[in-house]
Amino acid sequence: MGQLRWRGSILGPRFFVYLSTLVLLLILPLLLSPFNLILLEYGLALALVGLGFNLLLRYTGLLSFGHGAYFATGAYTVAMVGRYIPELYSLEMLLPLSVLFSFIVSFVFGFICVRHTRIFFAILTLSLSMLVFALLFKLYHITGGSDGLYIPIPSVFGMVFNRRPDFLSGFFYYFLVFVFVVGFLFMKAVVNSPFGKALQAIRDNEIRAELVGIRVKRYRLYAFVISGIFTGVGGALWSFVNGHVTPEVAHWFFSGEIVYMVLLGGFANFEGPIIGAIVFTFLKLYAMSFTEYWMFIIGITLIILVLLLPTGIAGGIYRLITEIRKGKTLSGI
Amino acid sequence: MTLLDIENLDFFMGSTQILRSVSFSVNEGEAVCLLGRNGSGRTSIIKNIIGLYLPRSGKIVFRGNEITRMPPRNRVLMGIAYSPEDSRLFSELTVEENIKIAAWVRGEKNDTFNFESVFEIFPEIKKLMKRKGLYLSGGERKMVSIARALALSPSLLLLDESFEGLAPVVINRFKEALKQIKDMGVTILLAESNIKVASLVSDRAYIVERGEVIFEGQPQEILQNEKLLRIIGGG
Repeated sequence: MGQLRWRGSILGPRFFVYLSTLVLLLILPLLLSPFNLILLEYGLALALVGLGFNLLLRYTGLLSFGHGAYFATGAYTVAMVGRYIPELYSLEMLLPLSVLFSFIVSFVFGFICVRHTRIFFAILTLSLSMLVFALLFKLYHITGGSDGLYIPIPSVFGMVFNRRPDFLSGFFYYFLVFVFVVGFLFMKAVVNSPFGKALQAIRDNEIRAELVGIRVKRYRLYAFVISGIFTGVGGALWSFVNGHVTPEVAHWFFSGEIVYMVLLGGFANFEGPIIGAIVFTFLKLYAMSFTEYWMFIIGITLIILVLLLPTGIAGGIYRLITEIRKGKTLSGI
Repeated sequence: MTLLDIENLDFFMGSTQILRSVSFSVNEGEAVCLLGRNGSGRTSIIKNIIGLYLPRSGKIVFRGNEITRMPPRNRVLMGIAYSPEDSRLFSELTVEENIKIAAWVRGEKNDTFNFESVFEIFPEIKKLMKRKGLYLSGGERKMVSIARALALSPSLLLLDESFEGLAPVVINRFKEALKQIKDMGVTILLAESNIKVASLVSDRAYIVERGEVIFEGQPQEILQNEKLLRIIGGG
């Protein structure tokens, strides 16, 4: 028993659920209407954002109200390259560039923010995000101001797509699923690694974490940057689906939506933000098409959620599974 | 050889002076006890040594290096480990992870950690490995907390009220464990309020009263001295 491995391997009881979900994702274009498929694409892009956001909230104990800034960085990277350096406008270039720029922005912002926790951290992230919003809004000649910027259809290794619906329901969907799966596996590895455990130790008690030798601020910064990159990539992928980007994505209101969708799915579970992002996308759009008071529906949902399902949808599902298992065990006796 | 040297330490909390010109030393391989009533300043001395509190004046010298203003993490890396009074663990990490995290931070990058030395001292931990820190009893928590501190391979182990709240049977178990730790070459500085417990494991003892060190000697001397027993509340 001398040498033990870290627990939390990807190969566990959940493996078959993950595999079934992947198979489902791959055949969904055959089952869903183009409209619903595009909604799912929005959801998957936001799921990456949710995974990144939850690395900070669930695993590091930091609530950010400014993730819109990194989302905007990813989306505007795509838009600006399309506008100013069109010769670089291909998917294989845009994604690494969005990673690079979201890395830079999240590193700088993170450097400032991780020195603080709780409300001070939340307010700092919110303020910096509003700074990005103001820049995008005011620098009209560069960013298009409140009109935003158009997102052209990117080429992929020389392949050119003429119609956005064809691009979105064909190659791009599978590319998005691929990036999502890579992001999912990467984040799963991160949270189960010694680094992920160190983040949880910091969240539990930062003084004690320091007393076992953990570099608290540095690890928080690493988590912040990884979270920012995930959000930036999510923003870049989202922009291809949306076809247009405006400064609103850097506004704290959008950052609030990220918080909302993670709570909706359940931040206590790794899979919660993914469920939350997809459900939120459908909920928001159907609520918007149902009534102009869609925010009312979103607000009511949040109240119901907090009161009846504080662990979110994923938490509710896990509880249900636990209850069923308990029932089975009891009936087995 | 002196491992830890405290010279004229003054520590204030706000405007209240907690420690007054505290001086003492701990030699390599010793088990030394800081005895005193609750509120006498024992925990403050321990927290000054690990760096959670900063003194207003005085010097803390460890292995010949002054560490008075050094951040806690650097002191840990120099070989000082601390098991606090409440022994709180990282609640969502398993016992195995709680112990390994210290070893990993120390630089064991190959994802392996030899638990044999830990199991030798606390065989009870073997069956707790997969349990989360949140679901341990007080005694189990103390064991894991000490094991986690040992995973840092310290040369000085600071224990704050490690025996507090333990059943007599468990106290005997802990006494044996501390002897084993000492035999491994780890120097122990123990903050305790119970002289009977302290006398079981300590080579020397200091009595701390109202933030001052008022006595230095063998634990047996204290046990035989009515006046000293009254001061530490054990009479």
